[in-house]
Amino acid sequence: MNSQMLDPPAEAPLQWPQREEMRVPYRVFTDPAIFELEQQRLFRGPHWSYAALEAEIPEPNDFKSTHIGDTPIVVTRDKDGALHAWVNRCAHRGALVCRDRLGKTEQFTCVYHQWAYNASGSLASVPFRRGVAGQGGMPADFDMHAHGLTKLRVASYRGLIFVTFAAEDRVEPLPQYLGADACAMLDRIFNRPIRLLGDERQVMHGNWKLYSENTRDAYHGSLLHLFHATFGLYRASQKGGSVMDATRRHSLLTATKEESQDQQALAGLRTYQSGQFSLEDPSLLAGRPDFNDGISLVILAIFPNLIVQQIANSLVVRHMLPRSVGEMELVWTYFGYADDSEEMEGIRLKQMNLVGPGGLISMEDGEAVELVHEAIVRDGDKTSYIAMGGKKGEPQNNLVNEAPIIGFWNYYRKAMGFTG
Amino acid sequence: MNDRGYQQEVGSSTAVADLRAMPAYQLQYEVERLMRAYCECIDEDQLERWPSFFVEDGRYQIITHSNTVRGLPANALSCDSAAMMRDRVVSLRHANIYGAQSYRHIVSNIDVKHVDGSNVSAQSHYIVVRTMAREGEPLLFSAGKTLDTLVMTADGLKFRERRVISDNDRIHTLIVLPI
Repeated sequence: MNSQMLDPPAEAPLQWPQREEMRVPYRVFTDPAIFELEQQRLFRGPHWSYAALEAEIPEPNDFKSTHIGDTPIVVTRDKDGALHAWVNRCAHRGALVCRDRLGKTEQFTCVYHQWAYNASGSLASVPFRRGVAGQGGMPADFDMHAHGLTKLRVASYRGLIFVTFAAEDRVEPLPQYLGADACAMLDRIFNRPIRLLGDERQVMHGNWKLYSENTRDAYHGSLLHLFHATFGLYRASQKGGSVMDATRRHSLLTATKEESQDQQALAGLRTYQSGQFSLEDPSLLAGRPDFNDGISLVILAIFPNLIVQQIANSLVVRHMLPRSVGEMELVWTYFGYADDSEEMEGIRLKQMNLVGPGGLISMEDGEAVELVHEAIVRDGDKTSYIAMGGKKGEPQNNLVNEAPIIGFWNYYRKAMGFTG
Repeated sequence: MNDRGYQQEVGSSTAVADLRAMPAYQLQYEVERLMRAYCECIDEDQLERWPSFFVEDGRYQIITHSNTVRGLPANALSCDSAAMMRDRVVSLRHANIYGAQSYRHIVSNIDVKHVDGSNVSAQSHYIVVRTMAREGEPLLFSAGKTLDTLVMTADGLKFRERRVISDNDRIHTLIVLPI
């Protein structure tokens, strides 16, 4: 929104070559000034950032601390059950107020001078505010209401909590921000109460947008990740496709289990080694459909920092936390459903072997991000070439395209003011 | 029994000895010898032998301390049979793409906890230093403890269960090799 009116950033001038989003100048991944501008225009700009699952803070007085961009924040549920979020920085002298990742409390007290805040981030008490025996204390005109924590706006969709720094008139309401396709997919996956299974945290030594590209990239799936091919479970001929929202900042990749063998397309691929190996213990791949629509793979990338995944029975929200221009953390939060049988939970836990930082079908993504980041250290005006499936970021009915990546860059360029 | 006993491919999972009859110092020695051989197998890139340190229905799991304190069952790796471990090794050797790397395990505080017939439970502390070949720099990769159940078989002590509980819940880049 409003991105067309942004001034070209003086502090990080960037000429986008030929105004083509299929060519991305490598400097966007390496320039600290661009990372700074992203904090302002993306993470603190007119966008909703994912922050938590309601299931992580299910009860009154629960809280979770996390980051939006590189800003520390806390998401809370107050004693009446309402959600709040605020910047985790004391209004007094700037110390971290909340020092735990997760917990339960009625009041947040900064340890430095014990300024205390309630769950909504309003200042509740200041020690020695009136001084001691008439000496010291805050000025008489000190206004408690004017010294709360920096509050963020919060909205929840199907149990996913998003926050924004932007005022109501600067960003759409959350459902419109997500768009109809993303909402429909969240309706599908979060159709009933979930049960948390736990987190994994993966540090990637590369820029966060390299991972944003990765999660919008159907093309690499059967080429980088060779587990299925090696064990004769080849998937490139799976049916599937990509759609984007109207702004093209989000992407939804889906695939169905139905296979259409296309031996000709597979000829010559070094990765195709059908039948060379087989699993000794195929229980690794055993599962039961969670949905009756045949969709076995969903990668829903929501701008700027969320990926929702369904791979067979593996259900995950992946939360991207950019830590610096050259490093990001990815928090994988695994879940099942509250009504899962013990057997079903066992299936989901076993399928954790397939995904995540040690997953047999996905471990390579961290490596791929780092291989790019390491190589683009110089020549920032050189560009990538993203043209699989045509040079446009249009919806695709196949899994050999890079269209959602182009869509991402199209939106990014506008949101950052890189009109070039 | 000699160290070769730990290098046979697939041994019998039948318990053969009542460990209560074994002097404590000897049991401590046997447990330490198993741990040493296990670490050497991984650190010296003999991954194909890794599953043979387990009985056929042995279990292996890496979980984080932070998930366990929350009572959450998520794991970074979990195998509930030696066959599944062999599948993982085949996948690592032939399917997965990752930077060439090696581990160096440092294991200490090996504590034989409890003997129950032919089973013995033991705990140890570990750090694993990982060296990525391209970078050439050994960096601390993981630290934590192991909770093991061992069983005496015709091929010597084997793991019935190994639970690795890592203090760190951050994994840099990816986790390839077992701990």
